[in-house]
Amino acid sequence: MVSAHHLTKRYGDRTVVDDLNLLVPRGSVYGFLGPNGSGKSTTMKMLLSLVQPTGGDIIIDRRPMNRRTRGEQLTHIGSLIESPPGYGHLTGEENMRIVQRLLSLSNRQIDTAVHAVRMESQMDKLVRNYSLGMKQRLGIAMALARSPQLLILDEPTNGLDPAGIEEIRELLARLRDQGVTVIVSSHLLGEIDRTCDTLGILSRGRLLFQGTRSQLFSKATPDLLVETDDPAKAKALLESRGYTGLALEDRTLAVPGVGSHDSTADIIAWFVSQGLRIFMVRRREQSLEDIFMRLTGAGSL
Amino acid sequence: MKHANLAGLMACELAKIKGSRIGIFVVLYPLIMVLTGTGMTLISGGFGTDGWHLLWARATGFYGMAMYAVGIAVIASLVWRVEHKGGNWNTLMSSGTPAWGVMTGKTLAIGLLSALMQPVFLITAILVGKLAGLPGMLPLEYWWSVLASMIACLPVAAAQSAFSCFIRPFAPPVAMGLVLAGADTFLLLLHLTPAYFLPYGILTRATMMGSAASRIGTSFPVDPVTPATMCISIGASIGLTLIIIAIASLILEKRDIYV
Repeated sequence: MVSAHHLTKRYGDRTVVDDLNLLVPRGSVYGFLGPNGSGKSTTMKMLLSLVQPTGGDIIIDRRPMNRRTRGEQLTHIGSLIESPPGYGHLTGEENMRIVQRLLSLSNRQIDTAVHAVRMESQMDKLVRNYSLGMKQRLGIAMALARSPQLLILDEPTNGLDPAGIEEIRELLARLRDQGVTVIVSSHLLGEIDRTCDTLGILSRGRLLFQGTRSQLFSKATPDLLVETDDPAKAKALLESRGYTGLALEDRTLAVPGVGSHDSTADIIAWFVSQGLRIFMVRRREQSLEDIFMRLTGAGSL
Repeated sequence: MKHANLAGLMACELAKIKGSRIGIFVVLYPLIMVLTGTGMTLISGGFGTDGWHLLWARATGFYGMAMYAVGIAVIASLVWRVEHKGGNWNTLMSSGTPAWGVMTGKTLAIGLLSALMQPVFLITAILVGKLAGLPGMLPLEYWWSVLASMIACLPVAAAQSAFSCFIRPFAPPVAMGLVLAGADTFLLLLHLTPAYFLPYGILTRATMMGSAASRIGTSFPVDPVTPATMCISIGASIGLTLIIIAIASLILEKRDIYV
């Protein structure tokens, strides 16, 4: 549905998005993850042609997306970028009517969009009196009103309580079931990862990972933890062989970057041959959040 | 999905400002301008034998040269201010509405509100004249002048709309309006022809139109009210408005305004 090739955005000497290659399958929910300032919003703005790329190109629904084509392309793309929209001095209902009139939409489209975000009972209130979560929902309703084929949501869970976040997850899943392709960003992996078919992890403008959750788990190698009677000696032995990043945790030595079974077996055999007593060998348990933090913190896989 | 037509775009823009204080401004601003323009003359002995002509000259003098343009600038900033809040800019720009549609809708809304100030101005001037005991009615040429200025406010509305679109804070576009109106008046005083065809100059000349019929002198040539001068004023106003909208739309289309 959406692909971006070598997408780059520079402001002077500062590169905000660096050679990004995105592939968003049709009918999927694509989770765009990364810390604040990693370039997520800029990338989404480029997908909407709100910001023009310095380099690279974007294809949406087999057609290029640029300033020349965006007028037609945007007719089937709903979006919510950065802060939620809405005219504060008007009611939610009046805001939706403006969207309706601007895009020549039917009453049914407006009602469906409002129903989808469970805002029916709030539409007669002034938007300036809405909570942030309600503003987010109204913004999503505005994005949904045109019955989009592609929905781009930038941090839609901002300001929502846990129940609200769960509702957004359910909404995204429902939209996917209806055939809508969704790109959703967050700086908190836990908020959206279970809803997403594909994850893209961005840090400092570079795409560090793109794939499924299980691919992400398999990509990141958890530390090998060796519990021994003399962890200091074990550490010195590995350092003599050039291992780095070793850490002592009580009687356990944490060894990063040992991926294969053979390497693990070799290390243990060597320890035993050097007179060390091995009590336990295991992998460190890690959540997807740990992997995400490690990826984005270290800046590389 | 099809987009709104021009009437729909303008209706959207007017819907956005519903409940805001622009309406109060549209009524109070010209009223205050007439009162400040004529107040001193009224207090110091009235309008004498020049009657309605002196009253109109006092009322339109500073207003036509600068303050009407400033009022339009304030309206433009108020109309655009709502788009610069929260995520409204991104939503507007990603709505799929073409840039020319956005700029035309805004200009028409700003132009309509700006034009509405003129009937208020006219009615206030007549009320002041009646209060001062002037005989008869405001001469007809000034009614035509009001009509011409209601169209001549459009190019200024288009220019100020563009400034307020591209400049997020409220005050700088208003200051630019004041400076440009002042500069255009200065060029008119120097009798430089280009000033006649710049937005602020066209507006000044339209508000001053008909003053030549009176014995009240002006510092620069003013047009009499004739079918020809009316047509030139209205034609130039509409032509210039279209040019400004086209340029502003091109900039909005080609450039990243906010990143």
